[in-house]
Amino acid sequence: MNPRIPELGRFAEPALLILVSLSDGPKHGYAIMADVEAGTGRPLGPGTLYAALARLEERGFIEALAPVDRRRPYRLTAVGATILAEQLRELSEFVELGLRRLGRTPG
Amino acid sequence: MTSLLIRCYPARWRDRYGEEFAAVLAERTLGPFDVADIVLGALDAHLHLRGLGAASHGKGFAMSLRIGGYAAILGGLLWLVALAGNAINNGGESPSPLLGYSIVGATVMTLVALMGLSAFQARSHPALTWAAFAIPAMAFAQEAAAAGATPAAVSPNVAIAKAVAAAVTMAIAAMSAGYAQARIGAAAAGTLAERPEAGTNLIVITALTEIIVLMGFVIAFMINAA
Repeated sequence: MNPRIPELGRFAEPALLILVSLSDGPKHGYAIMADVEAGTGRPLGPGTLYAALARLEERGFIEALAPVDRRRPYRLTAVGATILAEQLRELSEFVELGLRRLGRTPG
Repeated sequence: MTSLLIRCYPARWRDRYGEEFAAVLAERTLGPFDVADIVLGALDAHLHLRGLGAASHGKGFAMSLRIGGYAAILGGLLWLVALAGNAINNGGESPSPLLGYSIVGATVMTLVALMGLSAFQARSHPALTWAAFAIPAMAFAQEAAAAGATPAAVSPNVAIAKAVAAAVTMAIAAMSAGYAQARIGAAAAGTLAERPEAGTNLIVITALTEIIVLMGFVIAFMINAA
């Protein structure tokens, strides 16, 4: 069981959150930050955000669109969507395993 | 404040992300944690230059390994200077303070080298890590031999035996500490991912293993002086 996006080290978790955030449409930097914070209740710093964004873009999981008024939106690529779906499936298997061992049925 | 923070990033990074990053920062007032996060992000961009072309990815060694390697080489050279100076000075009066400084400097460099090289990234280049450990050990052995050889009263065989013993002690202690730190460092990195608040304790635990090499260091000196 490997709940991490490979080779992202400490940026694996923010990267996963960003991918999830982008999965319902393109967003610019601050919108991603606000969305992740609203979703997890934990702050995502701008430095971490851009370190993760740069890594994701480098690997072709997301792509930059034309900037609108200084703010550049990012979009999930097909590769990114595949990777994200795979990650989420692995995580859900892990969740199921944990719940089963606890003696509670998932859902 | 904002422009100062953005200036922390490398120029190439700023060309690509500077504009939108400034827009993100302008959205709300920055707290101290945000500032720390940005500084760490800038450091990361300097160290990895990710997202700026695939060519930069995977090339070059991890920074900790590079710092560790430089520290090991510099430390080895300082040991050489300190111990050679000491050996030359042996017959004469009180040693110059410069030798003391270089011994202190060499010790610091050795510790930095151990810290840097025990990081888990160093494990992907084992040969280089071995070399970096070998350089100070060799310098030590050589100088222990030189220091032992200078007083004519001692037979050369004893001097060589002492030098070898001291070198082996130091080398084994250094390797043990490095091994311990490699394991602890990897575990600490894992823990840090889940519990960032444990950072201070993790530093203490990681640094604690330095005692092993310091013990070896002291004993190597005792053997040399015996």
